[in-house]
Amino acid sequence: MDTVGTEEAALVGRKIFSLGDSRQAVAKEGEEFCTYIKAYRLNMFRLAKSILHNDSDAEDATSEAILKAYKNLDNLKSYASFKPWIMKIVVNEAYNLARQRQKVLYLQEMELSQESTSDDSAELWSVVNTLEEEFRVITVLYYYEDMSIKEISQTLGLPIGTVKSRLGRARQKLKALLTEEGGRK
Amino acid sequence: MNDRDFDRLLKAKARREALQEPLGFSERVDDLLASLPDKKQKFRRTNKRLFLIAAGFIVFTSMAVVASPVAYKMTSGVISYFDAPRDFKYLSQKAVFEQFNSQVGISTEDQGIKVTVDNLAIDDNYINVFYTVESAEPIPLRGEEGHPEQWRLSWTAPKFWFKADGRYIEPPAQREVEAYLENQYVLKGMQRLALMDKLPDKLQLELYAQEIFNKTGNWHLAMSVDKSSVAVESLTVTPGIKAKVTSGWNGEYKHDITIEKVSVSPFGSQVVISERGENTFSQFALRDDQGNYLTVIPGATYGGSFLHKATNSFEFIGGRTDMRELTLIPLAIGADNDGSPAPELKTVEIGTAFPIPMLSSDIGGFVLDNLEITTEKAVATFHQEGPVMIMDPSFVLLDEKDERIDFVAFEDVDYNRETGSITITKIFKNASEKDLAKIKKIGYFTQAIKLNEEEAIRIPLK
Repeated sequence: MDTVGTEEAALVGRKIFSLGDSRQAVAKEGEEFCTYIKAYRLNMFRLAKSILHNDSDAEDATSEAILKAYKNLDNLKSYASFKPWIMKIVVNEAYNLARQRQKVLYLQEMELSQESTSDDSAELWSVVNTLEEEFRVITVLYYYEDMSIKEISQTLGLPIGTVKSRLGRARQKLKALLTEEGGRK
Repeated sequence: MNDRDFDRLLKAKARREALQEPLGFSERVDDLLASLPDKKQKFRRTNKRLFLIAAGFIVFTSMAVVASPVAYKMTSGVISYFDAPRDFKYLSQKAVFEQFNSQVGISTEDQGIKVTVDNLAIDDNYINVFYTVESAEPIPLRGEEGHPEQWRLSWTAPKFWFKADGRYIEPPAQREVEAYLENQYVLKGMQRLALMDKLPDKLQLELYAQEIFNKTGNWHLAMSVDKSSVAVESLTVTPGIKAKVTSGWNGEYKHDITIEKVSVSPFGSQVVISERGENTFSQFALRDDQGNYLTVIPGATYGGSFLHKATNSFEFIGGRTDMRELTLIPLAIGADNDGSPAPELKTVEIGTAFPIPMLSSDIGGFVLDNLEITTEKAVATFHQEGPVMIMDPSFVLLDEKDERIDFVAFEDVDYNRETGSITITKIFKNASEKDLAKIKKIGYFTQAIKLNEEEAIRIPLK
């Protein structure tokens, strides 16, 4: 890590003396984790926001996801699958927070997020935020995160068929909404 | 445009959109990463929020909940909430609310915000709380200028939690809140909470909140309630029927569900279904003992897991307390690549006489009873005929070439729980008379839906 507190520095000092290469391996693993988190932090935030609808809660869920991911880093088989792995944790943390906030988890009434905008530069985001929850998360993962059906299935813990079905329905709605909003057919 | 091209277009669009991150977000993440302990150390973190919540609960239990000495009984009385000159989503039920409610008038105050419960209306299905919140500072509205005012007020209003006889009432996924501002310091609101369990007629009810208008605090009220007078007007069963059902066009998704509760009462009717699993069962038709298909109001649902049972409430309209049975029939709904017929766009010319049937499938659909269009909005009213997916009626406005008209900014939906009428309001942005003149047709989609009668569940009510 880049910075270490006084207490931890003492522990680290003893570990350098006793662990040698292991300490270096641990440090490297931590650095790699941080590198990946920094690469995906905005993606994580956007996914959390698509569920929680406001910046504050989305940031909370993202932070909790980072902590949980770090704690369970041993469960990550390979950094090649880091993205679906961390996104799954974000989804779980966001839904947990939503339950605590008594927020609606699967919306079927049309609502815009609090920070959504009618600015054309975020036209797609505005439209995505009007989708029902079950479609919105899949849409974010497919179009914004460019994840495959299989990766989305792993992230959300849903059967591949369900992902395909919901994506198909989301696509139908997006086509209708985007042309109503002035997008292309 | 085919799906592949559409996907390509949308992914390109998504890549071009810059994500607005909160100020300082990246720095805070960096700080968090920097504070992570060495992996070999025992992982420890203090979570301030959990600590605060725990402290809050300690406070609650140590208060020994001083409930009011008077039991609030559900009788006839005026509810001042409905005095404001505006439309409310639940206005159709005003008479029922005023027939069975209790004037309460107790308050709690914290952080310069005073909460008063004005009226309480409880039956076997719903807790309806009518309240006033007075703030020492102007109330900050959530959302942005341009969002429908009703949505902003709903986002701003407090969200209360409840306990019955000291036990937390698990909330349904639906959040039903409505509010208006009397002035910039006073908000009047109502919150409607579906009760998924059966509660006793007499109970100690607690209401609390820990965040109001962006302030953290403790607002807690306790009341003794007697809802026995409403029970005589209700039909409630808790059958606990377990069933194996499927979803998907080919029955590819399996569900083990339990029908926990069916209840018809003055404030609404619901079917409560529980299930273990993530992709919870949520598409079915309800048929009463006279063969009528009842409207199920679309709402939010929880997903569960194999370890965590999800319990969901489905509100329906048209239930009768003299029903002998209710039948729940799973729906098979077509999707891409499952061999089902593809959805089709159907059109109707503007000016066609009402009512206009808009079948959403071969087995049923919605009927358009009226449509009014101005430069501000299009307001359409529907009713259901036959079985439909649990979804709001949908329609699109088309020009003479079947191209969609592109000035809808928001869409809202209201269900009249007395008549079953469904109102869809499309709110326009920057529409002129010239734009309106382009509207020549109404479009709606039909898709593949079938009833799985072989999996139908008959629920005895008597």
